[in-house]
Amino acid sequence: MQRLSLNQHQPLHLTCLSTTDVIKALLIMNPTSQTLTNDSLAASWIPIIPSSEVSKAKNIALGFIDGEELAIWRAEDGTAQAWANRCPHRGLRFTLGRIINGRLSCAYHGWEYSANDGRCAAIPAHPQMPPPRNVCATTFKVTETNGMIWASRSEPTSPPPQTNQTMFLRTLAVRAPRDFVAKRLVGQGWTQSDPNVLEGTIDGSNVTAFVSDAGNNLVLLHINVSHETGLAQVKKMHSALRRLRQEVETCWISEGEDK
Amino acid sequence: MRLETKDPNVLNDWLTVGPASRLADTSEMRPYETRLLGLPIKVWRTEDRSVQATMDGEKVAVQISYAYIWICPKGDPSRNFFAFPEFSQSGRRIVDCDGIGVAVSGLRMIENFLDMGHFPFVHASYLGEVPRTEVAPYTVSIDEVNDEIWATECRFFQPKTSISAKEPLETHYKYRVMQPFTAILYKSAFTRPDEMDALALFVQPLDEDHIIAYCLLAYYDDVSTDNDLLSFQHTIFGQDKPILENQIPKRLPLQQKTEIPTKCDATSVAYRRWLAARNVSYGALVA
Repeated sequence: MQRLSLNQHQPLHLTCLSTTDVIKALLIMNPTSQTLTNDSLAASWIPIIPSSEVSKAKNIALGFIDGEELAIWRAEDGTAQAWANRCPHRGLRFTLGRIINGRLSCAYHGWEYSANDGRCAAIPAHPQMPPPRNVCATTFKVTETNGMIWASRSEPTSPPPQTNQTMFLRTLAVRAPRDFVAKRLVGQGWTQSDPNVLEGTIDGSNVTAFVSDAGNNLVLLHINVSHETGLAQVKKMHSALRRLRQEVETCWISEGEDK
Repeated sequence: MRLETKDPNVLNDWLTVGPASRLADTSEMRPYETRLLGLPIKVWRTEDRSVQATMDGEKVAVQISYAYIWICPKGDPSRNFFAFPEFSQSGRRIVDCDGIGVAVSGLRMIENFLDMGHFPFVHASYLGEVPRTEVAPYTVSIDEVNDEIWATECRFFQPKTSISAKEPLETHYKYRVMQPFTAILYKSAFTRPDEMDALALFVQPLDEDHIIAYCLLAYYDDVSTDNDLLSFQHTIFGQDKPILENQIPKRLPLQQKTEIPTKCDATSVAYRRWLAARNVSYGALVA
């Protein structure tokens, strides 16, 4: 709903409008935008990072949800965890930490946090004292499908969208705003079934791009292809993707200069 | 002067801009140049050996104390400059370790300096070691006369407390905060068990999120070389740097409940309260 608050000078009576009406109103207020945004849907799954990037009780990966940093890791049973990337004690990024006994241990003071509920389970400076109940990491809901880890602030009512492209190719980082990138791809004939899922072709092959907004005009496109894609074709797709990135970034820079 | 801050705690107090050794071979035409509170600083020695300084092109009050250059941006220090008697105490050796640049608020740097809980994790095999992680209770008090914070009766098990330490030691500590951006720690001298070494931290706020942290030793150590002492200190500061640069937010939150302390953070809690009571805003997040 961020976009509505940005347009407060245009009075809009929302109380009698359905969600669909609000989406329409948003599109009217932004006539140039033909793309779906996260703002228009309440609780939905946001693609964060390919599942293969995070190993069981091993590494802590960096992800993003709407520009906010997330620490992504797995419990000993493999359950994926998505937490706000800061320790509630002194604000250190959790991604500097490590996993000990299935818990995330902060690199600054070794405070340990339990998987799933994010509760602080140990404070090494006071080994005899039970940690206060109010010390807790900010946790997100997590699910996994299509080879991706998805997160949400609250439990979405529907599962993430399905795709036939389930082999992870690469993550393409593009220096441009999320909506600009989406608009640009839709302009080239890509389809957008979900605010964060774009489908199109790269060098003739069907691809799915899971869009992750890293904030500060940086977008991560996690590109999936079909399992049948051969090695020679994958090679060609890598260079086509680099050209695509250059094209979008150049276009964003020149548009910025026009303003 | 194009000062962006109105915080009297930085404008009406002495802030360091580096070691006095920087002034060798300087003149008005070839000054030592640096930055303070986001503005350019020039400092030089005149022919009669007196020191002059400008901030954003305007003359400012400057003094040399404890082998460091100090500037008072508004030229109207609200209180006496802090005492550092150990600096001129006979038998102690003064070693300037110079500085290390850190992309963080100076207040976060000082808070890190006052913290024993991170020793076994950030300074493993030097200042602490798992599983000896417990921080024993200690005392925090305010010196009302000088308006300074003191933490006393601190102790911590350390595998290698200093460059001269040959074996682990239950090290005794005292901490003292003189200004928002300066602090001194006193710790058991390995070579003189009845005495305490003094280690001063002077922070130069280049701006709200970037600092140079200088370290000056007044030690009893008469076995280590200057280079050994300096290297040890830079090893320790180098271990803190990536931690400090990955704290979110970079500025120190002074609102309650933004970050949750525990018992061993008593000094940090007192420091944040002391800053809040003085309405410090430079390098801080306030409600």
